[in-house]
Amino acid sequence: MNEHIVDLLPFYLNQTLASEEQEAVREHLAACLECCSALVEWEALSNELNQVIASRTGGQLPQLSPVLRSSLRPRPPAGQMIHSAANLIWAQRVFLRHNLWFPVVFVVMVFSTTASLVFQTYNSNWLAIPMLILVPILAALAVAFLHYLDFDPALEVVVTTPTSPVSLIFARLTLALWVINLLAALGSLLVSILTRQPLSWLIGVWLGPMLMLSALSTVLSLIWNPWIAASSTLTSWAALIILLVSEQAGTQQIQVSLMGLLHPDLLIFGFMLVLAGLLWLLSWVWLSREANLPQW
Amino acid sequence: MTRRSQQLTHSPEDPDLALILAMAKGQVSSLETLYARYGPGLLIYLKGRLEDSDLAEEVLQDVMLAAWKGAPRFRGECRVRTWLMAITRNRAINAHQRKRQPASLPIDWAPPAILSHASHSERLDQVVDLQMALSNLPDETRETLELVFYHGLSAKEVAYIQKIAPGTVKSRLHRAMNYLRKLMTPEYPNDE
Repeated sequence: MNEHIVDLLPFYLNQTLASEEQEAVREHLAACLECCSALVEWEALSNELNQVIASRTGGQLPQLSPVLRSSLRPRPPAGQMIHSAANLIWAQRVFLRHNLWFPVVFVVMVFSTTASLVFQTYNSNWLAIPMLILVPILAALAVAFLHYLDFDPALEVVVTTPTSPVSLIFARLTLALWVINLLAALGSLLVSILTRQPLSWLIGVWLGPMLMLSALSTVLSLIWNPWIAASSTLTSWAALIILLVSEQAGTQQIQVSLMGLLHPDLLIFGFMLVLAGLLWLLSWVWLSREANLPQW
Repeated sequence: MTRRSQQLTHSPEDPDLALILAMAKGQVSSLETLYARYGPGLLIYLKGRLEDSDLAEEVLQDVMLAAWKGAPRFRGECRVRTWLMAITRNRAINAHQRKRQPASLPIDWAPPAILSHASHSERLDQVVDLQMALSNLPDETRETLELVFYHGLSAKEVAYIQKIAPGTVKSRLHRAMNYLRKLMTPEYPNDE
């Protein structure tokens, strides 16, 4: 009995061997009684097995379901996909209008711009502090409640829409961050014109922390809940700002200098940007897992 | 050997390849043809694996959707039929886990204690037919038998689907046959 041939017998029987192997087995079988006997055993097993499996049949093959058919759409061209994404993002404006979200953001931005101008009259170094304090925390708080059921003005539409909750949440996130960015940038532009300070510095001060803090807020709100996200980002940011102001006033509380926040270079900005990107990637992965979809 | 590193015999004349290409271009009728061609076999496999007809039909729909979405990325490293079977098996495993049923036995299994430790005379008293013996096999081994003898797949194709080495496919078959021989023929010499 040839062990190699014995291993091939099941596949000789189902005729999936290469033609030269099939022929080699055939030739061997003609001369080996033991292998012939083994083949008979395999054949008996195969027949019995097929009878057992055939007993599972019964009933007609079901039609492809309507739900499945509705999903059978060819992938649209890139231009159409961008257009759809823009529409989806714009459609989220109803959420931003709700609960005075937009007016609150607007007032805070006006306030921080005015505060910057007032601060500038005392110390030009303090010029960027109001924006640094308010813009990131405003973004973090707004982002924390993006998917909170109680605050959703379009709940009935949301739960019945064919768009995935992941796309909806990130569409809202995009729109909210764009609105805050736009208002903060306009405020910074105004301050820059009135004080003749460089616009890149005024924007760079709040942009990195805003992205980082709102990304952290997204993750926390998804993994725990909006309240934990809001309170923890608010607390940690307030603590950081207190330490920064202390350092600016000449009483440094910790070993590490936080002045980099007030005068960010490309390295610091890049670090915050990468960290924010990673946190949002984590959020996307977390959301995409079906079991983790929050409150929808 | 990993699934990716296996070189499967890909026949350029695979009749289903044209269907996949058409599906990648958005032709729904090609999916219907593929479904009509392989749906019955896949459904039989799923019914055996999940032991729940309704769930099997539901998973089959899921498999066809996965095939539709995956068609543009099909690289032709195996036959379409093997690829479909691999998708089906993955979906069946997921569905099985969702049902929170006990996991299937590990690959290195041993026959049930009541059978392996029974003496020859005790075995003579047991009325064991092949169908019952098959039901005693571990899920993975029974699946190997089914893929080879019912679905008519090669050792490499079964290895691709079950994510094991082709040698493991052969050793599973070998052990399955030894096990069945012991059950069916009491006088068969015991290994122990």
